[in-house]
Amino acid sequence: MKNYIIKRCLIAIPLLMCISFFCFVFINLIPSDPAEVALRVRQTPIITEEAISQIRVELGLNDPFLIRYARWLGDCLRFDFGVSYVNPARTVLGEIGRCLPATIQLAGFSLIFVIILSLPIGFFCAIYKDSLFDRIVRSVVFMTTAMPAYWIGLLLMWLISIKLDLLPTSGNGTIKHLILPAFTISLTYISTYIRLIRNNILDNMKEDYVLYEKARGLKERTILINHVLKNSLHTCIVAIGMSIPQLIAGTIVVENVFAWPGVGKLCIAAIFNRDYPIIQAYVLMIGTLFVVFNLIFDIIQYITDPRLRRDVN
Amino acid sequence: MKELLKVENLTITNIENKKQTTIVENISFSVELGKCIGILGESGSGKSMTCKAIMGLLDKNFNITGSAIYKEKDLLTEGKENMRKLRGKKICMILQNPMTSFDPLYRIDKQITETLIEHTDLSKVEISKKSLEILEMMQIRNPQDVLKKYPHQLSGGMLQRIMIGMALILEPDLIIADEPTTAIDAITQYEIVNEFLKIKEKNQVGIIFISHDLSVVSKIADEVIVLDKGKIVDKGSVDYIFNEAKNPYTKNLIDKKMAVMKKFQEIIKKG
Amino acid sequence: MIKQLMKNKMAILSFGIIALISILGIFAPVFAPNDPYESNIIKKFAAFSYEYPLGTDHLGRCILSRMIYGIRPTLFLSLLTMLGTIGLGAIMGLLAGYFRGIVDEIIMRIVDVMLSFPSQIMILAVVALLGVDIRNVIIANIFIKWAWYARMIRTSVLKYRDKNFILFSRSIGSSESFILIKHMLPCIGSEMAILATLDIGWAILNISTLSFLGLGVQAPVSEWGAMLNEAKNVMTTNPYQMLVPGIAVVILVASFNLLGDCIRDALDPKEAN
Repeated sequence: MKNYIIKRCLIAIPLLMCISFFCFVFINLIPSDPAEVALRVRQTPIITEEAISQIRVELGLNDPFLIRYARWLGDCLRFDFGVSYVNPARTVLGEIGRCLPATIQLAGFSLIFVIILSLPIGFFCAIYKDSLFDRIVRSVVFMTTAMPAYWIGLLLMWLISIKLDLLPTSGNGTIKHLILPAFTISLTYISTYIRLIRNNILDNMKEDYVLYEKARGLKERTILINHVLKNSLHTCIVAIGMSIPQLIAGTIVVENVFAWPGVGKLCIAAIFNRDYPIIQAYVLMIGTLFVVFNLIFDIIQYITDPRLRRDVN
Repeated sequence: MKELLKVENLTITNIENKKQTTIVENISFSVELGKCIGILGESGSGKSMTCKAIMGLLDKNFNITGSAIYKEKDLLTEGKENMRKLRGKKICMILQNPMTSFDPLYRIDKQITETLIEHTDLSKVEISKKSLEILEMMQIRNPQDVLKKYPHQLSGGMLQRIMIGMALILEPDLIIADEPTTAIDAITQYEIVNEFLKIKEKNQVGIIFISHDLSVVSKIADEVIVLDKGKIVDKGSVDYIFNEAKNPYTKNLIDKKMAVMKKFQEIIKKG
Repeated sequence: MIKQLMKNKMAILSFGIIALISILGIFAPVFAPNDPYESNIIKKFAAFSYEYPLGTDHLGRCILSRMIYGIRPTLFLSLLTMLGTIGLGAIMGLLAGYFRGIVDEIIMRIVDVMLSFPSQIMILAVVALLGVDIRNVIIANIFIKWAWYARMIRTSVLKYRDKNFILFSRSIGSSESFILIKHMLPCIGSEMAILATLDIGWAILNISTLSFLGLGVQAPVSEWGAMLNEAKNVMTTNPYQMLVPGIAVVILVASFNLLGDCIRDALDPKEAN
């Protein structure tokens, strides 16, 4: 088992290197010249050729590609992502740090919605397979997979905030502000999870041990809750865990719709303003989160899978 | 001898997906107390389905007609709750694949306790005593340790014996054994078959023994029915089936097996 | 297989919807009552009328006409994206699966790396890099998503690679490209068809999302996502502007998903008799 963990961790390192490389290449391909930008940052009144070449030497921009990459990587590991191109007074780290808590709050709440909605609904769909409830849920799920996330957000905003005036439309501050955006994000993922949980439970119900438990005369409810559900929970938790980075990435659109002041909104603004350091840091952050979360939950899945224990012995 | 279970004209059809397929047709047999009836047949002949139908383990995708009278009750028409109470207590089943028949997430003692709690009013102490009894009855060494283990830590043979023990502990009237030796190696098979012979001798139970293995059936069963594609093609005592069977399918089955055995013995003699 | 599909009512329905929408889009000038770009501020937020069947938007443009003309960017751009993605993915998958060895290793490592990262974010990054334009969105999509298809197609190719007729073909001396085109493509064709239909839905959602964020199609092109972006601001005064394109997107994507599911069911060996 330890071998697997070590192997997985080792694989993660090149992946992290790849994404950092991609981000570095990204910043090097942009049209604006970093030397010019640096000069602007220092508020140099007149930008001359000499000043540019001087800056290039100073910033080490003439060094070979790999050395610059290594230096940049070192900066990143120290959390120094440079300054914003647009507003040089602000550091990238500062900007992201300012907006990150809001996004995490939103993603966290969405996760809660996903768990409390998809688990019971998936469970009941499996137990009452092909009943009216199951068929209605399956149709609704089918529809939501065809709906763009932003439209769901708009629709909910219109119905609940404007028509019924139950919740505020935008901004943040209280739990009330959190409900609609979080629900919107969760809706896009709930459909996937309901289907996953339903199929997982249905598969587990066909297992041999369920037949044996029925043959021993155990109550239906005991079998379902103590045995089938417990066996399914493992898959469900791992799947939901692996989706956490997706939830964080998925906040981009919803933050835009509900004017939620998170990193997604920051990134979109940065794209329009061509504020490349921020975009780069955002991509780096999300990519790293992806790799790290997949690693952690891969390992958790491996450790907790009961069937793998059998192979080990 | 007292007739324990009488099955008459049992017919099972699969009605899933708006298509009707007949699984078994007009099966009739009876089981007597203290005797064993063997159900012989190849894969897909409907052996397991018949027994699952008797125990009420088939879902609504199947249509069952006929009767299975046990103690003046027709098992095929009994309510779900009544059937559930019978299962595990009065009518017990031993399944084919012991390695996958236990929930991998629970220890053995927990799984035995579950069954006992369901069917008896015994206290915790009495239940632990009974659990040890089950393992001792099956001659499993270090029963205390075995109880604390997870299913994946035990061998197939041991799990099979635990299954047999669990089937016996509540003193049932009828035991249905669905290919209990198929997933086991030959040496353990021999031990399991002996267990069944002991059960037949000591306990007053009726046994339905399903198998596709002729040698095992010949040792245990008193009477044999042969199934082919859901229909009974032959019925009779073990001697009759093995030596005097007239039905071409049965004869083919016996001949094939005999040929393998003869060849095996020839090779042993030569070497 | 086509015959089996024909029997399935859902498949016919979804195919019908898609065909209808496509025809409306291709012959947009014939079907649209007005010029989609003609704005008439006086007539803004008009109610349903004969002249403006779905009313007008905040600039006084006919919504129905914009919708019909909007089929072109929405549907056909997604089709283009899908063809590019699956084309590139198919080529890479075929090469990797058929030739195995070092070609396979290299391609699969690249695929693994690309699949480890969130596609939405990567597409965003590429668009940010290349500039905000619809062509860049398509390029970004193809550049990032081909990996997923390459893997699926490689799996299919591996299944068929060692079948007898391929070995026979090789033994009588057919060239590799001949085998690839004449034999492998038809084999994996059906699986590609499923992937294609399911992917168009994803492509439509992706392009419309990026357009909604302002990163894809630029105004005044009436792509449905862009229309929703404009509708966002006038939600209180004219909700229809928001409802119509949204419902249209849902119907279109749902039809593709349904068709994909039906094809998959038709090919499922368990259902086959």
